[in-house]
Amino acid sequence: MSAIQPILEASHLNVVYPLPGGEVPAVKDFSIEIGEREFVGLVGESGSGKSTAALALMGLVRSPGKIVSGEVRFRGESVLTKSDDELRSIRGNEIGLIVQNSRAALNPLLRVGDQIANVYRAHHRVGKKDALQRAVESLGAVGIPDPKRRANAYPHQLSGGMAQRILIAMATVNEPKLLIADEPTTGLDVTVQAQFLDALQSKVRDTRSAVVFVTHDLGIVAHYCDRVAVMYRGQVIEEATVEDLFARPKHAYTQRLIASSEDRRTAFNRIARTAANE
Amino acid sequence: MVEDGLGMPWKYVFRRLGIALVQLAAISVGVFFLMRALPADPVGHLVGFNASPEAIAHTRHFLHLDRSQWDQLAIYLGLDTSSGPGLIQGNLGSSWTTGTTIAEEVRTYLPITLELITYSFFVAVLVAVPIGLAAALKPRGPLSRVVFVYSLFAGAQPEFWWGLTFIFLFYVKLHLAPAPLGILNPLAQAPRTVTGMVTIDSLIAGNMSTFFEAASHLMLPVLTLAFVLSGPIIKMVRQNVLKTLQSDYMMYARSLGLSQFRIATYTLKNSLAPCLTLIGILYGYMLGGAVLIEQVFSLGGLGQYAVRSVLTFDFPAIQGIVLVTTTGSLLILLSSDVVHALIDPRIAR
Amino acid sequence: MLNQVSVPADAPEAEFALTGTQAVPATVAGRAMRLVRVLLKDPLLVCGVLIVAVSLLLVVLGPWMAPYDAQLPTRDVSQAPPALSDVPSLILQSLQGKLHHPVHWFGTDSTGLDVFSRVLVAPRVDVVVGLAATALSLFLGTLLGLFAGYFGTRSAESIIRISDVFQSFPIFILAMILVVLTGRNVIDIIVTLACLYTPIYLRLTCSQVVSQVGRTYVEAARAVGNREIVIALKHVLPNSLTPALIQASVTIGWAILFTAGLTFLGAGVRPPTPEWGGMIAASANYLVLGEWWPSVFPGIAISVTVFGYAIIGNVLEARFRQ
Repeated sequence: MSAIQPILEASHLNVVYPLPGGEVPAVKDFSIEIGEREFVGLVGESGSGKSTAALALMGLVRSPGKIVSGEVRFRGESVLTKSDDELRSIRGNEIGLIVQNSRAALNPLLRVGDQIANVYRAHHRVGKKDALQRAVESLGAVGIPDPKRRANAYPHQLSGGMAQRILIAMATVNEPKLLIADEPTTGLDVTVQAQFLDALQSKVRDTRSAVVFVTHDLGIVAHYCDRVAVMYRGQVIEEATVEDLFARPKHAYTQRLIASSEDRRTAFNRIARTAANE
Repeated sequence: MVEDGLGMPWKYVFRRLGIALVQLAAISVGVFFLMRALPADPVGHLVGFNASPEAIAHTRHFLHLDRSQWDQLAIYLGLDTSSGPGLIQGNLGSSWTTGTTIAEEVRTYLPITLELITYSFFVAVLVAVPIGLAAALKPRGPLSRVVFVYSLFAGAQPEFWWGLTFIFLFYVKLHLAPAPLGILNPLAQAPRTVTGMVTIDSLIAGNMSTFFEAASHLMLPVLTLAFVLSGPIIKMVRQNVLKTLQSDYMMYARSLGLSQFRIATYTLKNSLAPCLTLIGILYGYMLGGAVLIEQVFSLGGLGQYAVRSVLTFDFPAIQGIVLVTTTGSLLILLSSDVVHALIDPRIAR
Repeated sequence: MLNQVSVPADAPEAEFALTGTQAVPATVAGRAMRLVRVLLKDPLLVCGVLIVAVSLLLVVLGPWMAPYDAQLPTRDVSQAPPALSDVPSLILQSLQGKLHHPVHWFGTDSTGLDVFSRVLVAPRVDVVVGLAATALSLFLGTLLGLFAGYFGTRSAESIIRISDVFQSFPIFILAMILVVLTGRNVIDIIVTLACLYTPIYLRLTCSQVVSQVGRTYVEAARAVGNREIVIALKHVLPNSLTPALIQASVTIGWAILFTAGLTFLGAGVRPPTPEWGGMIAASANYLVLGEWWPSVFPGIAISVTVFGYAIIGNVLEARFRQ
């Protein structure tokens, strides 16, 4: 499963937030390698820096944060030294992003189909009609029923789970080689979560993409990920394959994390299997 | 739940029209009774305070002021068959001071006010939107700060004083503007009345010299009004653009690699839509609020007419002005809300 | 007068809210002190506070600070203000008590009234109307808004509808009608403006209350056994006041502009009461003759004062909008 050269390499990434009281380090000395087609989980509690790290892999950081040092190489090319303009051809095209709050991530004044079409047109020279056609196809590919009608909907007309799946369509319409998913299932019901994750899994298998999946839910990690990195207070404290991590957790924090989610994990797996069978 | 088109929100429009009619009726009737309830005596103003008791009684009877308030209302509405047509038949009555019909007076004065306000809004929006936009694009820069302070300052100004100051500066000292004696030189020939707006009418008549004459007389009043209006408009544009630029969907759009052009269209559409409601409110407010500028520049608009009517206790004129300005205001508010609803699918569905 | 207080303005704070970077003072006094210190770092806000302070000072001490009686004409008619180059020496001389009669710092108008004294005394009308009208409408509006929002959605909706009527109406004309027809006293102006501004506070408070009523602390207060009216007044009201209080400063400015404008038109307070707008109206005709000082100085006074109140209202809103 691991490739000869990793599709993404981050080394010694540091992100800080300058606040009135002083600089707060959100991500400390973050390093990771993502191989092609690997499904890597990034786990930690709230405030561990996992979201910040994941976004930084694309060169994105929420204002007023700053990436102060470190390197990120995507397919051998340095990401952090490029300007926003130069990165535009990569973002949405070779690296896709799925965020947590789907309703907030969608433009409230535009139809969903048009928004997906715009992402397609941003990276391909096609007309509006063709792009919309492609958007409808991508909606169908993530398992949204009646995609042509759904494409005419506005974001506020959609349920949370539907909107989240639309984000998958939007992020993958250009078939990126790397998908970064920042807590996309947090806030969804467990059954909806399972639907979303299955759609995501089948989509990334089709497009043969790697995934960096940020979550605090170890159950999801156990079920879907190949490798896991555990973060605590901005640093990666443990990194292993999923089997190794759950069987032989080395760090005390990891052990505690696993212990606290054991019950949830069994419940989740049970429900996930039931949902898959429906 | 999914709609096919973003068409006219007819249900919303009709509902608002219905409410507007009720509001209009409430205000008109309210003002009607209010005027008669207040301790103001119109008769004294008309015949003089030293007139004979017979003259006073005669006038009171002639103006129906000796009847009960409900009777007076009935007469005004035209429900009383013995006293001629009323509001329901389309008759607004006649002025107690000049004798002309209210309809005619409104037809003369309203277009001038509309002319003044519309040009002022045009200029204000033309100036305010780019400035607010520029300030929002660099929110921590010096331009943004200056623009913020300016918007607060402009919106806090006494426009009548600025009008006078501009007159002093541009007319008295610099001789750049014409005398503030109205929209046209008193000696000039007014164009044939089509709309009542002098600039439009002179264009329709092909009379370019009158057009420029009227335009030059409108220069300073429009400048003054646009200056004051620019304050709140810049403030609102800047706020909305900032809010849009920092919103999650804009960040997400950027992270998906949308072009600068696309980002720009998203920004404009999403931030200007909410400004429409404010502009509607301001315009409605200005229908009555432009009176100070009209007075300073002697433009002869509805505001001046209103002041005259109020000061002379000319009840029918006041009534007519209230009716006209409220209707205008309600229509403007409705229009701006409808346009907003056409752009934003979350409203009115 | 057209500044509206609405959507958050400046750039937001960092979303990344790690605690432990700044200790939060425990007492109310401590938090208040920190608030004041933070606010005073903003030069714009400092200007606004100074302006408002001066206006309040003039309301109280205006007549005593004025060198002349504001309503008594002097012998010097249409006298221009002193040249700028003379001002420092004049200040020195007046402090040393060497002058026979006080300097006409702003000159005199065509009837001989000292402009400076009248400008100093006018806040007793302009600013007082602003403060009183705002206080009254704030009081009424928030109480009505509280009850409308707290005691039922049906009553809330109908009250909102009624106050909406005022939004569609050309306020200026209605106010003019009320003031003129009731007799053009200061009290009439205050009451009229209070009636016109109450719906604003009503709507602001009502929507705040409606959003607070769903919160857990209200449920908790009920569970403990408090009476509804106690919950409404003691718990919900203090948490719903913020937008209304922020709007108050802006409303004061509006009221001052309105009073000045109305008097300018001849529909406000009657002469010879010193009032900024009235002073401008009385001397407007003399502008063409080159006599600028009786109109310019009162205008500057209005401009600066309303600006000061607008600053406070808007800067507070930019900082505290949640």
